[in-house]
Amino acid sequence: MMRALLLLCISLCMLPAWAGDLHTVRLGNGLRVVVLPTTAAQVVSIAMLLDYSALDEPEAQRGIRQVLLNSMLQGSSAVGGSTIQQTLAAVGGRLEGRVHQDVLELSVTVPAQMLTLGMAALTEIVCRPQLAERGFSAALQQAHLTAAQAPYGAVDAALRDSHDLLYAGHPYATRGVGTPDTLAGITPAAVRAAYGQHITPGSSVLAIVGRCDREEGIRTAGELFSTWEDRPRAPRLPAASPLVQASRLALRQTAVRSTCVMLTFPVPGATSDDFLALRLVDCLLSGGTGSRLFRSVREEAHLAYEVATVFPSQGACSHFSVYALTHTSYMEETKAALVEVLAQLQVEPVQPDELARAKAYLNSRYLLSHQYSAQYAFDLAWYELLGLGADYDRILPKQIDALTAADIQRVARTYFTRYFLVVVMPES
Amino acid sequence: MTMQLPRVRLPGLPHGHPHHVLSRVRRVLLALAILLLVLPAQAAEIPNPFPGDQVFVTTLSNGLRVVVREDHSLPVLSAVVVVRGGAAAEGNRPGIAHVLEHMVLQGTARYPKPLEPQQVLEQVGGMSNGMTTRDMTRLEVVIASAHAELLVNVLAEIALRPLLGEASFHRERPVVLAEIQREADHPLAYSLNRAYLLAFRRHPYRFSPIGTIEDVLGMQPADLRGWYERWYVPNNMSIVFVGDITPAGAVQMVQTAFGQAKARPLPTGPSADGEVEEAHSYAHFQHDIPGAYVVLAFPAPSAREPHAMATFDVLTSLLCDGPDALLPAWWSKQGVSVGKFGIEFVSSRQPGCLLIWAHTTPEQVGKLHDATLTLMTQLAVSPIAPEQLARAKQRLLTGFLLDNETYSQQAATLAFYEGLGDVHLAMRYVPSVQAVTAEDLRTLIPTRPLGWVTVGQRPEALP
Repeated sequence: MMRALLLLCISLCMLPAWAGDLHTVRLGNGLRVVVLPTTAAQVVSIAMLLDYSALDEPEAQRGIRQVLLNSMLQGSSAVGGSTIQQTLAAVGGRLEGRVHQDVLELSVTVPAQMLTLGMAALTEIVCRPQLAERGFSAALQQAHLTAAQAPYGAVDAALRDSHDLLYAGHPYATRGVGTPDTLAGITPAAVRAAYGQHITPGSSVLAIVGRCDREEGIRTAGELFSTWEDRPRAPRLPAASPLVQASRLALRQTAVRSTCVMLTFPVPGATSDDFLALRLVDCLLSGGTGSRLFRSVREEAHLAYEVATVFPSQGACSHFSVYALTHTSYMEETKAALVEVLAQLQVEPVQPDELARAKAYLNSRYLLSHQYSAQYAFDLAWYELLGLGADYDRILPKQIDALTAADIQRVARTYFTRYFLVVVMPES
Repeated sequence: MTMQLPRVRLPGLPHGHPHHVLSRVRRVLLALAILLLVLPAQAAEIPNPFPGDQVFVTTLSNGLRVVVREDHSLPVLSAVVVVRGGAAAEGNRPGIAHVLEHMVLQGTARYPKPLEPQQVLEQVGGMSNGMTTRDMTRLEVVIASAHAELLVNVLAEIALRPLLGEASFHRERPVVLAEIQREADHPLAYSLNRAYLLAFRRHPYRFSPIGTIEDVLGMQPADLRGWYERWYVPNNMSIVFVGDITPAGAVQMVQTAFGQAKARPLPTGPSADGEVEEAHSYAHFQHDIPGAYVVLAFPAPSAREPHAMATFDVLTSLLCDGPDALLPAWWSKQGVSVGKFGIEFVSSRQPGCLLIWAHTTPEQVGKLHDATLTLMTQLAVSPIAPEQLARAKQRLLTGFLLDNETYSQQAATLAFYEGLGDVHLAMRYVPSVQAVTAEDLRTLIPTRPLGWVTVGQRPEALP
């Protein structure tokens, strides 16, 4: 018990003390700006999250967010073509555009003295995209390529299959990339309409993290983004969370060398009260070499080389996958071992040492991921957009430490019931 | 401790009415000016992530080198033990360094259970990793700086007192085999490995650091112990710290934990001198992927020639990075359609190679090969334009800064150069790149490949 208390103290000591004051400002047009100056490296990241979710896509236009994002990167009304990306690339800055299930992300990472350049580039992309016919063709072609990307390896294929099964009929189904059929029906006018209806300052968050002056960050954001006119955002379409009525098996034989056995459970989204307890379960099961799955399935039973969990942070709902990469002849034993580990969580309370270890691991992983300013900026903007507030980042370690063995047992009993079992195995 | 943060509205920016009444046109012009005009002024000021006066280096009496980059911005400490012995250390035993990297984590005198050393660190939130390359083995840990002493003690256990037991070996071997199988599944990794194999006829750089299934199946625990005794000696190791620690504190902890280890004579490594053959040979490897990967291997300088090494880094940026990258533009001009492409150039202790790779259709393979060689030859004749060279250096140095954002990244970089022979190469990297001239590029660019390979569908017609 003393050891557990000691570990709790240690994890509390690992709060991100290096970061300066966090400031959240709302501009006159409704854009929220989060600034967190840090001092570790001469780098600054600016992340813009646009609250345009897969839930907003009509069924016949799945993937339109991908086409819109690609189109926004085809030039602005002032800076045509790919000049913006080229300007950043020419100096080695990094511009990323990503379609998540819940948001569109545009982020720039540059040396600290290029903060204004990075922010100006984002302004052009987000506030003044050209969305012209010519750029549309290239944007659509890129979207088709993304949608057509084949899974790589057994784990990727199993994740895809699990996703397809779980989210069948749900807006999350196409992983934000659409299908050839839905993409074919998307027109330039639809893309322009999507921009007008969903990309608004009032529903977006800009986060700046890194070596920057707080006042300068806020002032520059104010100067560059305040002319972006606010307008009403289209209401979100309703969508029911996926349910698994009964556990099911799906088997695929394909050109892989190892066999992946994957169990997938539907779980709630990031704003649920149970989300953090599930995140802790995630660490208990696969956080490092002392975690349960690693110890039991790999080290004791020698059934698999790679054994892990996948638990994305999604807004509306999420999924919790547990998998092992094994040899085909161990398939049954591996599945039984995975189920056994999950069942154990439901019946036996986690011991204090193990709970403390998982908490230390989770807190530490969180802290260390924030060494990357781009990741930190994304997290702050994501919390703000979810309605948790950017300062949730600082409350989180305390909330983790407040979790108990009973919380673990409760969420395991609630969510690890019916599942999809997906097995991807070699053809021969 | 947590604190509730105030939410504030930016003063002077009331809803819908910007404080600074600039017209839309003026704002666009301002943005453009920032994008296009301010750029060159900013470009010249990329900071060196490793200023010489901020990296402390010392050598203990047993030959162990200690490198410290002190930075108290974060309560975090990253440490790397680097052993200057990798897959190429003993030419006839490829893969052994990699298996050993796994085995040193399988229990030590003080932490005898398998993976216990790693688990002790994980208990307090530490993350650890091992890596084997052709030239070195690295054991990396990042942890809250409050646990610095534990970190150093565990690293000393791993490096100096691993059990290397027979049971652990038989338990860990399938893990290594699975890792090898995974790499073989990856078409690009497989293609690059095949290119190394063809480019180096005898030198052990030809082998993949991960080893082959046959190598690993043929190994015995005694092989590992022998290799360990020869290479894991303090005078062949360095420990690098970046983060919340002082040089004096680091040296004291290292002296206590590593000081009793005795220096021993080192074996002589293989020499690459005279081993590189400019044979320009070709081989095809069938692989179940659409299209084909093409890899051309060119000779590249060693870390003993830092200026040439920096010149090659500038060359990779010129050829592959940024909007004005030469290779994609040239291929397009020659009518060659290419999917993914890239360059692999890893600085090495002995002369290594630069690999240009691209994914294309089987019909385009010959054209791509010819076009690439033509471009390299042209660059050896006509010097690159000064502005283009300046942009390539700019990209490279910005990339170097961004890639060294975290303590872990900085420690890995310092350890990498320490593994090549001297951490000062990291401190001198920025000035070395800045000193590269168009004439350097013209004279050093390789024009004759050591060999080339295709992986995937068999090309229909070749030159």
